[in-house]
Amino acid sequence: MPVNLIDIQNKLNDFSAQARARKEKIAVRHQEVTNLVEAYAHQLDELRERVSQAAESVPRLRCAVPGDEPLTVAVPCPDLPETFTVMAADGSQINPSRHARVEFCVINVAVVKMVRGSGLAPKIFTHSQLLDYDSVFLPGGGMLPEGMVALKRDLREREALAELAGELVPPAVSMTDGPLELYREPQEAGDFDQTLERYLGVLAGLRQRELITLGYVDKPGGDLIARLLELIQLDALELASYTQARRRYAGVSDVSLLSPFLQHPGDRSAVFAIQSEIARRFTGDLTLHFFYLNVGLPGRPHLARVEIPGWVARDPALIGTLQAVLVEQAAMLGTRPYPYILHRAHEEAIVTLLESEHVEEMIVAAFNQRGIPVEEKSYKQYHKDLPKTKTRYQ
Amino acid sequence: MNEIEFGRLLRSGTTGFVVGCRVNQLDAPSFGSLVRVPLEDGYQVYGVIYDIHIEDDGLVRQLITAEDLPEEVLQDNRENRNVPVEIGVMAVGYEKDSRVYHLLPPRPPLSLDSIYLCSPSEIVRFTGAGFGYFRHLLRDRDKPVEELLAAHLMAARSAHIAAENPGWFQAALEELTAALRDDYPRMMCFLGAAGEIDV
Repeated sequence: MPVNLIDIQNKLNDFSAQARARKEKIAVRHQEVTNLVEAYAHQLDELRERVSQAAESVPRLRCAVPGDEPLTVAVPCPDLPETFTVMAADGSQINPSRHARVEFCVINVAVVKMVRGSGLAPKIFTHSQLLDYDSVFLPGGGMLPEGMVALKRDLREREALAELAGELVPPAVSMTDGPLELYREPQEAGDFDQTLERYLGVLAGLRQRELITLGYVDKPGGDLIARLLELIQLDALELASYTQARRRYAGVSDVSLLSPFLQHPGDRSAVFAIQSEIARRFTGDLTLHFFYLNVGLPGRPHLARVEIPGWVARDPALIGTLQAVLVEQAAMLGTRPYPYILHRAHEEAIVTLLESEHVEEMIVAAFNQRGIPVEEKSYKQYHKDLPKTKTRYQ
Repeated sequence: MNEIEFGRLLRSGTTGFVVGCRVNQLDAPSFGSLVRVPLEDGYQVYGVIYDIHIEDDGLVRQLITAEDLPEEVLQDNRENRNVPVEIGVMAVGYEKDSRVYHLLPPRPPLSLDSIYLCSPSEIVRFTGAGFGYFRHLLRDRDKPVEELLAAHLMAARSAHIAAENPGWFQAALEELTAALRDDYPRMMCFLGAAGEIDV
């Protein structure tokens, strides 16, 4: 039986009323935060000082930290360089499953490298990694969780960019989809620390090669700026007992706050640093920063969050370059702006269901040749895989 | 002989087949071209291209909404992306043990068989064996048959003139006119198309 649409229909009145009430509540908060953005637009020292105080008493504080630019600034898009390199990496994976005939994990990463001004088709590199059999199993039993596989994939994406970072037409910009900051649910992050160290090493290597690197977040839901301004409202006593689980301005997104200031296509916001437990591990040249960029069309702003390391954030010329590159890339996809090169990397990296089945068959054949016993797939999976079309009249 | 391979077979049947090729191979085949698919010893299937079809996909649909596209993006879509180009071929005969037959092939070619454009001498050899293959072209009324015939005659005429057989074209026209004499609208349509051929 498919979804019972009558049940859904019966719920829609309540559901819509809840949505309206929530949006009205957030609109009130939004107005309060907007007033604060304008009031504190130039009081950057005071804001930084408050974050510093809060970080001492709130263990897992997460918020924006203003830089040297006013909160309401809109920096227009500079001109593109005549020639430059733009690269993107994206990955996908086959997660290990106890329902399959064999336990295995594949990470597939693609890098697309385009030299603008060359007139040539971009070069595409793909790398498929079958993880060691032993690494599919956790020391304490069970299999590698999806979150951990995703973490390994994020690392591989950056490593793949680093491997191709030689002999690039400067300036060179590289990007991945999603934040530069690694974040995983704690319960899924078995050897997170080890992976993070390797990740930081790769980012440092990219910096040495002067390959501008960024993380691109489309339709960002982040509220780091509202979190920052929330702190300014707290007195010392409230700050001491402040917990991010009970937030005053919950639901007020950065995009909603900054959209009125970034009206022109190509405008970027001020650059902020990120205060978070994990961001503290990104030090020196790698300190995490972000800004918002309007990659939309005239009259239809569309803000993306761009995360960059400190060495890029400190250099206005580098920020200008990546701003212009991103705006051009997003414009290539017309009415639904998103960096073309990132989409292409995604297209090249994606593992289809059919490919996943082929890989499994290859592994099963290899095991059979070597006399290694292979189990059946689970009966649950067997029945799920049955053709979905009707085979009889009734 | 310079063989021009331009694609591989996607699917086939007795009366025709569909070939897939990359966009950068598209300069070789054209509407009305005679093609061949060599199979086992001494057996090959001949056909005439009746359709060249370029599919779109989600990305291409989105790209056309952009104001202007850099050359690198155009090249990416033509060289790197799996832009599906499908070429429809109507089977018109076969060759077995060095003899040309204008009959439907006993067995269709198989998936991924290579497709070659016929050279002028191969065109002369196949079309010079009589006009029996015209009935395959005339049979399918869902296709632009009259235009297809004109395109085919134009290509074949050049090959026959180069082979010092200028009379082939006139004989072919008379054969087709006779075949269409009971179908006035189609005949007029064919004559209109054939009139575009520079004689």
